[in-house]
Amino acid sequence: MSSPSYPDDPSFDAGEESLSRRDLVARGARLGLALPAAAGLAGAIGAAPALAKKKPLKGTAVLINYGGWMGKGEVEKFEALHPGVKIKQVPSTGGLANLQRIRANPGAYDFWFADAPQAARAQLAGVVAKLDWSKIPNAKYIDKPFRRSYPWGIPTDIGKTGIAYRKDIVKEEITSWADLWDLAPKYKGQIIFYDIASTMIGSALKFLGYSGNSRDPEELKQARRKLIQIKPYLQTITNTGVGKALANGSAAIATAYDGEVVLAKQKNPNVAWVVPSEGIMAYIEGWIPVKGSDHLDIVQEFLNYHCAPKVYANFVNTVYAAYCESAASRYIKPEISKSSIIGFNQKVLKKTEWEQFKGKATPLWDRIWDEFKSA
Amino acid sequence: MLPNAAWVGLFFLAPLTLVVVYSLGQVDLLTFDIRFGWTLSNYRRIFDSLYLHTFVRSIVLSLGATLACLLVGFPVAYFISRQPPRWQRVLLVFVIVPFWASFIVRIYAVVNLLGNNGPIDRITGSLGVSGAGGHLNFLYSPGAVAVGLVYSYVPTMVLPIYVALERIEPSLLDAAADLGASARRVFWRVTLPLSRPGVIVGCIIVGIPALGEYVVPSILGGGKTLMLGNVISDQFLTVGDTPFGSAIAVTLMAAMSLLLLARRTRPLEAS
Repeated sequence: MSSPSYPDDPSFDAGEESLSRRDLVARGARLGLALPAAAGLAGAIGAAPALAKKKPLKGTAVLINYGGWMGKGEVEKFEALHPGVKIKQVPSTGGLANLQRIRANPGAYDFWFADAPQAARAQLAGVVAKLDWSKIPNAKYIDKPFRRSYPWGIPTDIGKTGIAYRKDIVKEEITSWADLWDLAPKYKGQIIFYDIASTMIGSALKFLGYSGNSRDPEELKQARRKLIQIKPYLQTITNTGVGKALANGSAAIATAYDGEVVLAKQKNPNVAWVVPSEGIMAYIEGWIPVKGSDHLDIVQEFLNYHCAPKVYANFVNTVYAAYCESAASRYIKPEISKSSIIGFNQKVLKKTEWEQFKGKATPLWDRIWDEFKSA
Repeated sequence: MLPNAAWVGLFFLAPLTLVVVYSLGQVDLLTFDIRFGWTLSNYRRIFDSLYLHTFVRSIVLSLGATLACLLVGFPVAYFISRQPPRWQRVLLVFVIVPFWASFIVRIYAVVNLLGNNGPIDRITGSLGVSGAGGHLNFLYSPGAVAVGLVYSYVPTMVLPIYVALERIEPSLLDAAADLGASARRVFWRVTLPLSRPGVIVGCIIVGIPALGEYVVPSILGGGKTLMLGNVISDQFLTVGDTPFGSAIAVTLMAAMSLLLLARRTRPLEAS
């Protein structure tokens, strides 16, 4: 296999690429640019054998990835298309631990799953390789706002943190963070918050009308006060089982990712999800290459394969996450693509702020979170 | 002697030395580069009110859990030690069986037991004992953390106390009875003092890990009860401030060592 063609996925057809080169050359000839056309033609003819003789990929690229965060059969299909190539997935141990693993074991990993703050931090730590985007033409299918927000690699999915609640338990309508804070005393012991500093401090900042990535100490102190104010009414601060708690009614209100709510709604249609009027925080995550990798060529080939709309759609259909390629929408299951929660929604994206690396304000954010947890 | 020293050095002293060395360093939280400047700044940070507060909370919970384990574990150990040898073996298996399951799995089982709509909630509900929303709302409270700690550590309290009780010569108890002591007096004046070594060992084996516990507060406390173990794990796994996390760990170890040393001096004084 010499060219990046994926015959199983007509959305990315090598014939189209070859056709555009022939088309270009033909246009050049029609314009009467004889010499350049001849040169171009000769070059194309020369290039075609060169393409055909391109050195086949070989080796094993190691990916640190969340368990199951891959399209069904995606790796197997890719490996079948590239005999001699393996994509080996190893479990992620969390953003910071992954970074430390990579630094401690140079050459052991080739790409890894990271959100935007982790990727920015990894770049500062000097462990992110530069991708050759010319080798990843399918990156064009990723919508520009996501590419801009995730320049280190390929974004795979996003997660928006809104307010989820049981419509049958909470009689009031919740439309804002202010509503949640106002209702907290009434639903004491039935509210779950995420145990993630960037998400919850960010949400409190949005409630206060500030940027969710603020580095201003005064704004952060106000956010801490807001969080401590609601803490006595919280049932738990956790990252696991939020959807389950909403579905079975052990929680009435929760901060919840869109993807988690979609799955909870399947178990209990009374689970509702709202984007608060003040705005929401969201993460964007994806796969980034490790500096010093000996298999960057495989990484780039795989990322290119992954971005093909049908392949990407398979990924989204498997993991049930909000996605970054509107071009893939027609291949994505209707319950996802047409979902008001995780479907592509420009109106919601306008109210969304991406979680970012806090730079030198990182220790202050950590301290604010510890003070909230300790209060 | 040399193989023993090498073993202790490799698996105990070397890792401990590494932690101490890291505690004297400083990390750049942007790049995670660690500089070993031999600074005590990490230790000074521990005296910040935030961490002192957490330290005190951890000590109080640990002491409470140890006492509760003792109150539950001693009668169990006493009962087992009074059975015929064949039944002692069977009963000890029941004490040890929980260790056959993963610790995390056992704690999640407690979540199901204590949670709203769980069996305990339903029983108390049927008895008319409930809180807001008609539920006990016991899970995710400091009480649930205490129950989790006791549930996790009672077997480790039972075993050393059982060993101490089982070693008491029956002739001593018979002699006390022959001299006119009532059963209660025999227990308080003979059995209990002779069980003291087992009680002390049990308290140490329970108290020390309970002080550094972080899984139980995370799961059963709903993440709302910050203990020293949580702070240490956060520093290592989330914040990336390895030197500060190491400093807290070293301080905790030093505090426990001082307690153990203080305990050790008393028998020497008595002799």
